[in-house]
Amino acid sequence: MSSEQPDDLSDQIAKALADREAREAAKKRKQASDDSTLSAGAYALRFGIEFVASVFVGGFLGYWIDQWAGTHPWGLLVMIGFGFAAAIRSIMRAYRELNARALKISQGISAPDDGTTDA
Amino acid sequence: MIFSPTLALDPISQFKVQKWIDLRLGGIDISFTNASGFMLLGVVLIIAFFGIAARRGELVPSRLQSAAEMGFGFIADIVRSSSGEEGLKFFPFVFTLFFFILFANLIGMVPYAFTTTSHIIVTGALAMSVIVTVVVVGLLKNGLGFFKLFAPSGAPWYIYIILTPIEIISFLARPLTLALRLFANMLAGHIMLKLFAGFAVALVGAGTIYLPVALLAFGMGVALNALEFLVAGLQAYVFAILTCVYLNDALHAGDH
Repeated sequence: MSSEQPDDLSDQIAKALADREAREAAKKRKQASDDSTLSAGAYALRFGIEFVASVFVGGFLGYWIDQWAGTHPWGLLVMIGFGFAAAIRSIMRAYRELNARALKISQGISAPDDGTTDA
Repeated sequence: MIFSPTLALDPISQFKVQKWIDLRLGGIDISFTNASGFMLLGVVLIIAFFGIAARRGELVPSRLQSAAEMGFGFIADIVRSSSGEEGLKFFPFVFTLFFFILFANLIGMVPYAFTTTSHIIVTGALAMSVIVTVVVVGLLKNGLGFFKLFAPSGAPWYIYIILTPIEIISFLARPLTLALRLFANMLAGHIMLKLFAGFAVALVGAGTIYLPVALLAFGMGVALNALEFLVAGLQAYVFAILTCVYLNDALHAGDH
């Protein structure tokens, strides 16, 4: 240990630093893919409840409009329709976000300096 | 009896709110219940955890300190990635929400503990705090431009007749989904746990012939326990990330 030349020592330090950098990069990559699976689960959990809640809110609004304007049953019917539309829209939006994110991550891992898409 | 764990086999009685200290304020029941108790416990544990972890800010962190630092870094990353540098103003809010929910969920995993997040009034209050913040911040930041959230630009005028009600409904559905998701996950998970555990006990009692089935139910209970720990963390994470997404909408409502 004490017999190391100064040159060797600086080489060793450089090597250790390079090693650490590589290790950290690998860790970051792994973390990114872990994050993506976690987020995929998180996004998937959004879908079901978001759908039901949108229809429910639409129906509630419709009922409330009917009570207020006396347009029984048209407010309820129309607003439930809008509720369905809102549900589909929010699911499509979540799906688009998920797709964009997956695309970004897969490109980030396979080709870091691609720079073509940013959806 | 102040602390009376429910030993019943039925899966619902674990969610029963019991009064610990009877309190009244002008005809309103403000009793200190087991729900209040376990929420207070969560808050005390969070303060104790971060207080002890940050007591000696060392350059080379101890295990506890690096756990706390990881928590900070994790939430800061969530906030930054979902709502940008501007969103970091709301870091304390998101941080508080995340750790309150996480600790409430994890305390609920301790046998005989009460899961406060399995009550929709608790998750509903949390969701309302988020949505009120979003509306107030959005109005302060963008003025009336906040309402552009309900009419995204770049569509012909007749589209707005359909689009605006849809956007209003999906905005109103947000607090509901936030509250429902956390509540439903915790409720369903704890019912499942209780059912399988109770099933195992009942089968052991039924006779030796049912022992293999009892073991199966027990194994299922163990697996569900692991799953519930995952759900406890995941739901806190989802709540935090959606808060950031909604805050981002509020901050950038004008430039839609």
